[in-house]
Amino acid sequence: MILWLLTMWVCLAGPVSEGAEVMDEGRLDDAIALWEPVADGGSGVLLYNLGLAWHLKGDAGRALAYWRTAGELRPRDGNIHHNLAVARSELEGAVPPPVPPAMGWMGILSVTELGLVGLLLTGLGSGGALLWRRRRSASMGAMVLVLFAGGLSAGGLATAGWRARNPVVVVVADSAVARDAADVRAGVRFSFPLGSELSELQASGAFVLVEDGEGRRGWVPRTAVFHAGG
Amino acid sequence: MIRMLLAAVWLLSVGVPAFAGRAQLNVDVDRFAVGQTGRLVLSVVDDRPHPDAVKAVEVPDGLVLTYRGNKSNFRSNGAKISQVYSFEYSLSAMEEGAFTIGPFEVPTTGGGTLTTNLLDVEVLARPEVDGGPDLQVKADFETGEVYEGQVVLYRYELTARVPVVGVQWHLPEFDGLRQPQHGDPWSTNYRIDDIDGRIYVDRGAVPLIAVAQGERKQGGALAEVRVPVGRQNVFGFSQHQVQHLPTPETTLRVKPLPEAPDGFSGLIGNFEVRSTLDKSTVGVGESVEWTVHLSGDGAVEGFTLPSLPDTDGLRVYESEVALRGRTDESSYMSMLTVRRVLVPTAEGKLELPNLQVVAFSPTEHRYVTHEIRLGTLDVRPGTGAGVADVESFSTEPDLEALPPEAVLGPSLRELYTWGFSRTIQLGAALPLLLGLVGAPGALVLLLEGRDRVAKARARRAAVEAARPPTTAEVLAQLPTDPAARLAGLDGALRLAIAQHIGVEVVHLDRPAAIAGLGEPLSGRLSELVQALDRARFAGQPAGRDLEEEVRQAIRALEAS
Repeated sequence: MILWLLTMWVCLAGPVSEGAEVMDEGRLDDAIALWEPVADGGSGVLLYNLGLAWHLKGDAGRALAYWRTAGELRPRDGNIHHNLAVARSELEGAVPPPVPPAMGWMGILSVTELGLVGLLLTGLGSGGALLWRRRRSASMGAMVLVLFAGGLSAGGLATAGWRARNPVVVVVADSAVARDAADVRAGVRFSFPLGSELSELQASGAFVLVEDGEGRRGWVPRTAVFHAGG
Repeated sequence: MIRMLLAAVWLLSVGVPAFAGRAQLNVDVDRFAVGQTGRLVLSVVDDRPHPDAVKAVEVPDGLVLTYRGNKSNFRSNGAKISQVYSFEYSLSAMEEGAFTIGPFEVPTTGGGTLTTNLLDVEVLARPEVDGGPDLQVKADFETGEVYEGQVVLYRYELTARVPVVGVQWHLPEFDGLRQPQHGDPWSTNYRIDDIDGRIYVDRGAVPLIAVAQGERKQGGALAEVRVPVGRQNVFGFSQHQVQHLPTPETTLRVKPLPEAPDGFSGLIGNFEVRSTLDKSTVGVGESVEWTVHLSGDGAVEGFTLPSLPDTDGLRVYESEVALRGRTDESSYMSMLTVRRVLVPTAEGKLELPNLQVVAFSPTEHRYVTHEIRLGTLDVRPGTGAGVADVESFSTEPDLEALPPEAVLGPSLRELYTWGFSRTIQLGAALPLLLGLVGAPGALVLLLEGRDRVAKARARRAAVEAARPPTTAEVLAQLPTDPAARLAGLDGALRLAIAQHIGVEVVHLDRPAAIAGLGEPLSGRLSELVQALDRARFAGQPAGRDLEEEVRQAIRALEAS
């Protein structure tokens, strides 16, 4: 009960609720100023709210970036999916399809959730192994092995997902010219319109190498794209 | 149940005429060389052709038509499923010239007739044998120079004089060009029967809008084809070799538009505009449907038909906007249909205002103004419903009657007013945590595994120890003491005889076993056993090398 009350107090008194009050008064910039310093490493809730604030300010690119990152942390949050769909439908021009998550399961579980499942199963398997050492039961031995193997597999999958994921950046300029190399003199390949959701593969100086949902790659100026923390 | 079935059959039979049938003539290729044969198809859609329909198609002298067969299938355009009956013919070119095929009257089973379209076919002189490669590819723009915003076709073609399968085209990343939102690329493949061998053709066209000015260099297209190599196997299958055929790079010059006049609509291309009112006489408060069709070879995305100027005695409601695009081998065509509903609110002659659409014509190199004239409406007293009762004549919702959030489109979900501002992210620390949590269990499993391995080894050693020694082992471990050595030799011989006849040593009846071995082995062994016994028990010297004889006897036993 005490723990629950403590949790509720932290939730209700934190920056999320403070910013929500500020935003209710129509002070979008103040709410953003309150939330953005904690955005890097912030929660899905906070990133969702930041997306909403930027959308209300008319910046579809930043809104999409924050909602994409929020979606990675809260993949089953219907509000995030709804707002992403609304924002994408408002985009103009031939916007390429958004880059999908690095692994299919990331649409259902976040890396942290799958990692926790892996830790839980591994912990149960570990504890079970200690008990089994004393009691010696064949069925318990099999269960311990299953728990251990399942836990390590889930943990390994989560780790692989963490390593495979590339930051999602969104074009916030009217268009981002994609070039052959990280240099303004390099040849122009094509342009990504505002709101294009891209995967950042590499960075070099003032450019980042990005890939869109159709697998097209090009170097775009760092200033033309935005990556939300998370 | 039977009544329902009968009713359904009756409804279907009555409903069929509601779909107007049509007949269509198509050829795979409309340009032949003398001596070549292509395919001609007569299709009847949404009606059933009479069997005599097959005779409906006739061709002029210089062409020869051969009936190949018929088939029927269903075709869906997403909104409606149509049944299509097709008659297939081979069309052979015998003489040079330009020919027109059709139109033909196609009889249907219902007693009516359907009229086909016309087809123009050109027959060229037979080219000299070129001796060129079996596979040829080409790809280029239909023109080398366009205006910014103009739609240009990029066409590609593969011609093969060997059978090819699985043709895949990889088009370049177009620089400064993008596909229009409406109108898919066009592609086809067919074969031409030629006296010098069958020709396979695969070609297509992609519509592209020039979105950047200047000399735009484009990479080449790449055709990937599978060509059979070697002979067919007994099942009729061939090995295939994949070949990649690149086309040369191309260049497109994109010119800027001249300075635009006021009211420029953004349309670039040659367009036609038609405007119709569904009636010219209407009662007050009644609706008139006004339809504007705009079509041309440019893109219409982003174009909005201007609103009618405010006119006393008239209300205008948006009804429908439909955009379509179509590509074929030689052109791109986009079509825009705008429907608006006009509701006059006062009696009398209502002069409707005109609209202007300014477009840029790339062929005329100038801006062209298209006038949309609506004419005059004769407005008579209404039927009594009154304008006040008119809620909406539009398929769109009445915006004024809806809450603001509905007018603004789908609303966003609400803000979260509470929650954690930070969350734990396990990603980078996960391997370490897994190691920490799993270490005790892993240690237990490791110890358990080690115990099991040790137990297994001990079990294997015990089994090994219980096994009787082999003759080779006995011979290798003979003691040095002469008496014990003789006993060891006797034991090894016993063991060899027992193993030879497949009994255990303890159950061996040696004299019987030796007798059963047959000559000369049995005699040799009997004599050897007696010599051994004499040496061991009577102390008589053997006078020969007994050990060597025992070893030879054992080898002989193992070899026999």
